[in-house]
Amino acid sequence: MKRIFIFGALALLLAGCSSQLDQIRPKDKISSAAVNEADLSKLTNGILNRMESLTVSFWCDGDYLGENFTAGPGFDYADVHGEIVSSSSSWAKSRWQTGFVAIMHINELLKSANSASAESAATLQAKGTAYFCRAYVYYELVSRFGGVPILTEPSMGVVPISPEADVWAQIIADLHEAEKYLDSVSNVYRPSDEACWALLSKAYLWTGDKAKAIEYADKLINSKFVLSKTSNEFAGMFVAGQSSKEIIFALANKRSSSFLRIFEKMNDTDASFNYSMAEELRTDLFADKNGTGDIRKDPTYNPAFPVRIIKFPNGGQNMGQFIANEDPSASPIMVFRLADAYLTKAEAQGASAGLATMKTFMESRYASVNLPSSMGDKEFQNLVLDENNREFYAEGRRWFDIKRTKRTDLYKTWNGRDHLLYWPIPQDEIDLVGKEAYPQNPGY
Amino acid sequence: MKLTIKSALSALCAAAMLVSFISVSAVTMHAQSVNEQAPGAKVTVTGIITDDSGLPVIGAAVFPKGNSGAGVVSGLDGDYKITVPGDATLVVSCIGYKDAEVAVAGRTSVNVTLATDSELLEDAVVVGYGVASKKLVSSSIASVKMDGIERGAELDPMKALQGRVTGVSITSASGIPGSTPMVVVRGVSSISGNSAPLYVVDGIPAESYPNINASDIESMEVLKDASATAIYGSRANAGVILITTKSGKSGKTRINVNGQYGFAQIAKDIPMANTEQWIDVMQNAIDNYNVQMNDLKELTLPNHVKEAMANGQALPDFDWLGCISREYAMRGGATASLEGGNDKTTFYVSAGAEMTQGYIIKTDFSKYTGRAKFSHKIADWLKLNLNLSGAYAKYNKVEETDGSLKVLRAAREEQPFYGPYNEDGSWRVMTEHGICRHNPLNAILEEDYYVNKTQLQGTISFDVTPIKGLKWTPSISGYSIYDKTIKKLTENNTDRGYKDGWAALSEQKDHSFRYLIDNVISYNNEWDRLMYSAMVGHSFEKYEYETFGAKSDNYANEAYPSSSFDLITSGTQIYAGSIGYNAYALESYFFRGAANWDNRYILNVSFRADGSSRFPKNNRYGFFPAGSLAWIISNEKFMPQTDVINELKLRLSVGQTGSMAGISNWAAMSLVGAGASYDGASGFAISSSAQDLKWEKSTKYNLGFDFELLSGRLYGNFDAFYSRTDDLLYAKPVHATTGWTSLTSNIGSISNKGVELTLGGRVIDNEFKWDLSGNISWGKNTLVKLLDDTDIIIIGDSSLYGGNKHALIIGQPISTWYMLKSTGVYQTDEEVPEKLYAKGVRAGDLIYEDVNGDGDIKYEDDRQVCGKATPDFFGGITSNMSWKGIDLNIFCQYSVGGKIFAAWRGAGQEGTDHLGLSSGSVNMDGASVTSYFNISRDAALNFWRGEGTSNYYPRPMLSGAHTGYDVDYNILTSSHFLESASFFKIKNITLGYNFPQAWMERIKMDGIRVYFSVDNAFTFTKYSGYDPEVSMNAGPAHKQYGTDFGYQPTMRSFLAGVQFKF
Repeated sequence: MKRIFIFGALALLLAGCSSQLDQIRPKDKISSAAVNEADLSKLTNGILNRMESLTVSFWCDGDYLGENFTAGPGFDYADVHGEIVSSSSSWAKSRWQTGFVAIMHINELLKSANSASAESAATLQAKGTAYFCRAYVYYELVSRFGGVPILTEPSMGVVPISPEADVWAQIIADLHEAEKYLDSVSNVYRPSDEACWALLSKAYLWTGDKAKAIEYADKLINSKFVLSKTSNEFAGMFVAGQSSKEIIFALANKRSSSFLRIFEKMNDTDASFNYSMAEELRTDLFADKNGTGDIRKDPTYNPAFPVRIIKFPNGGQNMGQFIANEDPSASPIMVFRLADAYLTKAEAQGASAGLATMKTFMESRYASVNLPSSMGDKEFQNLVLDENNREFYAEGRRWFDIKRTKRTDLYKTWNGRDHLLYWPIPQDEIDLVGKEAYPQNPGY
Repeated sequence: MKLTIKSALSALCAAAMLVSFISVSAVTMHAQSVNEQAPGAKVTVTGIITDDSGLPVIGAAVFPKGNSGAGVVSGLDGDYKITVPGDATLVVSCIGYKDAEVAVAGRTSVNVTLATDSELLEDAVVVGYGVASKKLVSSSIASVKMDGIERGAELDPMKALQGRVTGVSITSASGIPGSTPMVVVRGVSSISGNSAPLYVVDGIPAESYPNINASDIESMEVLKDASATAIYGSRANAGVILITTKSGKSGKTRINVNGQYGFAQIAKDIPMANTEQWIDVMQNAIDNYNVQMNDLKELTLPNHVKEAMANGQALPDFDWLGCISREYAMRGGATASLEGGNDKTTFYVSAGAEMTQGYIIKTDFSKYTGRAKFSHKIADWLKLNLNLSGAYAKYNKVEETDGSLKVLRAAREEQPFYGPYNEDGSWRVMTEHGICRHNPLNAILEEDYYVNKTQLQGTISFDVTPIKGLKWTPSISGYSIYDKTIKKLTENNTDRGYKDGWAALSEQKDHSFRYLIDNVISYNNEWDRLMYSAMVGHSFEKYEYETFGAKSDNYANEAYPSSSFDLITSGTQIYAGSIGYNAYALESYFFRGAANWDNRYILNVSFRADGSSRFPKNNRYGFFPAGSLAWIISNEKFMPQTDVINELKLRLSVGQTGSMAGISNWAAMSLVGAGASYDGASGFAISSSAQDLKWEKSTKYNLGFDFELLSGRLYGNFDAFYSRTDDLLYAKPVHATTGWTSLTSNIGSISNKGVELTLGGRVIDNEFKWDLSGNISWGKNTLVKLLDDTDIIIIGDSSLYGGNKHALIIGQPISTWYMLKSTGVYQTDEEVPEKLYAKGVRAGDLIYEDVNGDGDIKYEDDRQVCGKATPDFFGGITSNMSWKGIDLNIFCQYSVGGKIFAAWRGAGQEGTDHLGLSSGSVNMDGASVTSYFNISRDAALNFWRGEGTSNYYPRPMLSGAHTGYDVDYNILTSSHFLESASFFKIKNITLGYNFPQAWMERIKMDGIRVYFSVDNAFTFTKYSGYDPEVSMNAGPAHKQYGTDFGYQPTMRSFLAGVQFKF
């Protein structure tokens, strides 16, 4: 009898367990089938989270390639333009991949929003955010590569490269679409009508539609934003807990993990970081040519700490920081501010009408402005480019300003390589889809 | 070693004797039916039973033939006394010896000498899910008995396989204390994952490299062909290593104690340039730059160097390597075991401790292990087995593998005229105080960094034997691993301390738990001349892994409390570390049948079905069949029955195995993750897209031949294999507009073929004995098929590790090096092609082969195959000599045909070859000055100084003179950094002495052995680095396979040890 009991007990071990195989699942993820309409606002947040990391990973391109930087302590650079001279450039590949991965996620959000049954606030926000972000990512791509594949929905297939003009047209169309769903700005950390106008004015500037560029810049200038007028106000736009009235759109960057830290690249608390201000800019950039008492000088550069670009304060002490930063890792990521509108408008207006725009703008940035009553076209363009660089130094603009204005003469090590204005299509991507779909840009 | 076996035998027989007092019949070694007792007058016979070396055999059963019930057992001196009929034949029987039969023929004194039965001892072979009689094995299994080899200073059990088993290639990642070696069985069967074999410890598949006390191991079986491995189905592609630990044996309680202690020193150094040589190189680099770029740069030296020069004093030279390394690294270990039991219960318990110091100060590894095994017979038909083991290890670490701090490389590349401290005794800080790298001594001393690993394993199983030959073994096993990583920076950690995001305190805890329920039913029987067995089984296992970590503080904003605090909560800011979860489950059914006809023909068939949670529901099960045949030619009637040929065996096998290593646990699911929060609000993001995946399957063929001649004076094994793996799982790159950069897919096929040969024998066999054996393994693997329309996938890697240097190329082996081929140095400007000249290339720069012939060198256009990381052939040679109690064991290893990439020399980045590479600007005596990394003495003395001076090291040159390259022209990833990894190593020399048996008896001990051993004694290689065996990663398809990044080396060690048995 005992024997049978023991047998019976042991036989329990023979029980099958195949149903267990279906029950294994990750604890921090859910099946995509389980995501529903109620989750739209969370998916929207996910896209903005992605925009944060995308923006930071693209951040330094315009300054580094624009000869604004020299090697920071512990680094050494040879030919800065060399980063994009070859089709195997890791820069080209990573920007391309980061951009298109983001496009897929945005298109997935749009797909979910479009299939939503109700036109709730969350649905509108999702659609507006998706259209805006798609335009924003395409803006980053087209200004680097020129023509790129246009995807308005997720696709596993090969989508050939479209001409540059089509990409700009798509950007403008997306922004107009976004406007329909978005509201006027109430929270600068969310896309708004004003954010769309800022990007529209830039897109029109790039495509040469100056009237439209001015129109959208004016809409911003005439709205509720206010230019910073003191160094503290200016510096305050880049630190955690900012309350600036100049910001049109910024990314919140309040993260609890995977921190994004722009200051690490040029003002790290560690003794080694990638970038310092280019040697000649240390004396030239804020040389007070067109005005004195530039409020941006001290928040950007401290001659006592020559290796540091202090625009993005690291929160550390004894490192020449202009202002404190309570939580450097949670500093907002600037995207558009009112200065964008003025400088875009002035560039679109040209010398005759633009000088007044520049004067208005510069009067808030300088203690006293010293501008002639009239300027030649080239002289004015130089002024606008210089002001752009003073305003947006270390914010990744310089190379793109020079590309847009075709002023490669301002580079010291360009050596006539005008083909570099269009980055190479990554060779790895060409290898995967073929040369027919992705013809290489000329010169590579 | 012979003595060891003998003492074991004595103990066994002693055990038998003890048991015999309870029931004499229990000691009879052969169950025989009782015949009728022969008539005749009774005599009392006495005598001594000895073995062939004259030592007494204790516990041998002595009985009249045909009446085992009337037996006695020999005593401590091998003596016996038995009363039998005068015409009886005495049978003397003892485990480990051949039975002897002696006719009494009226004598009253009969001494018997027993011959050792080696065959009997090795009769059982551990196979998957059981133990098989050697007579039923027809597959390719290599077995290593741990007690039979001298491991020297090597405490890691797997390393014992290296050079001793054919087809098993073992490399070390580094000499970082406690680092585990990489084991590859029979080439590359997979291009994802790490190609590591499946380790099965006492029947439980391990999740990773087993952490086990080598002295606990009875044997290790390497299952190589599909017939042997297919019973493990989906995890067997890369081979299976079965580890069987020792079990208790009934009889006298035996104690075995081992201790060893010694020290190690660096076997080969990489000398760096001194200040004078450094100045020479940098001055040349600046002169060359000024000439070419029409510039006026000057070399700035620190004041203390200038003063020394002006005063004609010796230039300051600081030994950076010396300040972070140990001259003597201590190591040692001790183990003790206790075993015994009676006819119902047996036990084995052991404890072990070991400690190894590394080359770099503060690094060490210590491990403590314990094991307890019990077995108890509840009834005739039911036995309970318990197997519990635990291991605790502590690794004291430094920031060696960190890509930024990399302390050993920092020390090597630091300028020689600075030391780690400023004049006021404070730490010298990178860039602030002239040095061009993170101060390595500061990084080491101002941080506490350790890892604890705790591992517990337990199995409860029953052997249910209701009828003869039938056994049902249900078992439950649990396996838990708990790892803890702690880092603490002190206030004075200058390089990390103030950096935001570098936690001053961090703690990471990983826990994994696996349970396994097995049911195995086996049946053995014989019919006529047919011996057969069958086994069916079911297995379910579930694995869960959780990691959880937290960090606190950075030094910014005075947030750091003090390094006296150890818990995260002491900080003002607390944030999450890595937090994650992983799990999978596997359900399997398996079957094996084996048959042996007349000891001439052996057939094995097996089948396994594996269902894995990693695959989509419609593809959940994979099926893995295998079969093998063996023909023992020596047992055929047509073979002459002489002593010349003892064994001739031919084996043939075919089968299929699988691999799951290439896919994540969630590859088959479309998932959305949270955690993409924005502005403090929760955010979702798509994290994976379900892929329709199939099982990666390998079909393997094996032809083997075993022979033994002249009673073991000469023996050998030969195996030839071919395998092909299809539907390789790989993270296939996809075009980014899909939204993914790579997706796990079934992409291609690889083949492996090879030949393995072992030859051995007893060269001299008298009082002086010399056993010599050697083996060689040739292997070749080829990528047969890749993605559609693709014949190459470049494997990308960071320039920190030398840039892209491997590729998967159809027709080429896995681990192929794919880079520029450097063929020398341009001796004159005229030799430089026009397009390169325009990019600043001049005489003294490296020549790369212009593969596409366009007169230009572009990395993406001019790369070519430059060899491979895996060797063409490798193996080992073992020599054992013994004379009286003295034995000398020499073990050598070799490997030929592989190439190693010396990333530490600085491909794509700074390194020891960089003649003039700047680290950027530093603050030198108050001024901002460009600083330059130090270089190796070899490069400093042998660089190109003009036509005909060097065809290897280029001219020194500052960066900037070459345009159009994202790294400098002379440091492009090329074969300039590729070196031969061929080597011959005298791995271990051990000289031992066993105290004479007569002395032992006097002090009532079974044995004392003392030995002295040198490990890593000599290496013959052309490689300029520490060790040609180094590889950063285990997987031959991995981007860093065969790459030497310059971690601390394995060392030459000297050990003395002693072993007691009683």
